[in-house]
Amino acid sequence: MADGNFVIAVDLGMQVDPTACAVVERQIEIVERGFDEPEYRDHFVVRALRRWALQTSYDDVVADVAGLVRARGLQDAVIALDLTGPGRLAGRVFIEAYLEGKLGTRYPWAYTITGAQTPSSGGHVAKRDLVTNALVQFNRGRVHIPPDIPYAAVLRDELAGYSRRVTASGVSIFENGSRDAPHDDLVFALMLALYVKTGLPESCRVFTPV
Amino acid sequence: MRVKVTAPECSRIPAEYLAAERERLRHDPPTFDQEYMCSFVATDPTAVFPADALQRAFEHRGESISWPVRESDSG
Repeated sequence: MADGNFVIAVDLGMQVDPTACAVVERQIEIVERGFDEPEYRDHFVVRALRRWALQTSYDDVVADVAGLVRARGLQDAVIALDLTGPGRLAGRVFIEAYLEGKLGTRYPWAYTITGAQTPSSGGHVAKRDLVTNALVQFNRGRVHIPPDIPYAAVLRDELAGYSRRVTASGVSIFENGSRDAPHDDLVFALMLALYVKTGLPESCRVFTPV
Repeated sequence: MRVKVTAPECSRIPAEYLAAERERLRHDPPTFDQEYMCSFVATDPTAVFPADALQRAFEHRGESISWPVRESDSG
């Protein structure tokens, strides 16, 4: 089994939006502070990305995720599902796979991304909170993405094109305005993985800049 | 007619100066390109994620996890 603290975040798509996945390992940087308690800083290292072809069945997506969990020793990873597009019933295929022992040791966590102005609560996450959390981590230099892994270039285009505009009534609209990367599914998978921080620092490997 | 002359192509700008500027702006390549390379790709003011933050995030050289090939895919 792989050491470390992993989140496998899946943004489930529908007919026009592909399904995408980000596998993110949370690592800890320990900053010594003399006689005081050390400071623990979270770092988020993207270890794998994937986007499935449009209209790939959820059963096929689950089979691929189950294969990853089994083959790479990720049985203790948290599987976080963004069910905003297809609705919460789409999570059933993951739950069935979990109950059959195919998706590791943790019951899948389901999330619905709500309007930017709605407060986050439980499995409902305001888009504004999701975006702000990701922005903070990027600005602090806590997100690390190997540029040569599959789909890294697509993710970079999506991130660069992800924009915010404010309506006349003051409402923030987040959208991907890039013509080069018209989708934002990988961005959402990554942002969900950054949001679903779980476990104690002791469950994480020590971050080493490379 | 269009003429494009970047800073490195101008003999009156010392290479050492440009190297120092490139080092000073190493976390903000778009600004260096804008100031010295005639490349005006300044950050979109509506962009959520700053270009320098993205640049830094994608400098990581860590190990990755590969997706296994599903048996039905391998034929």
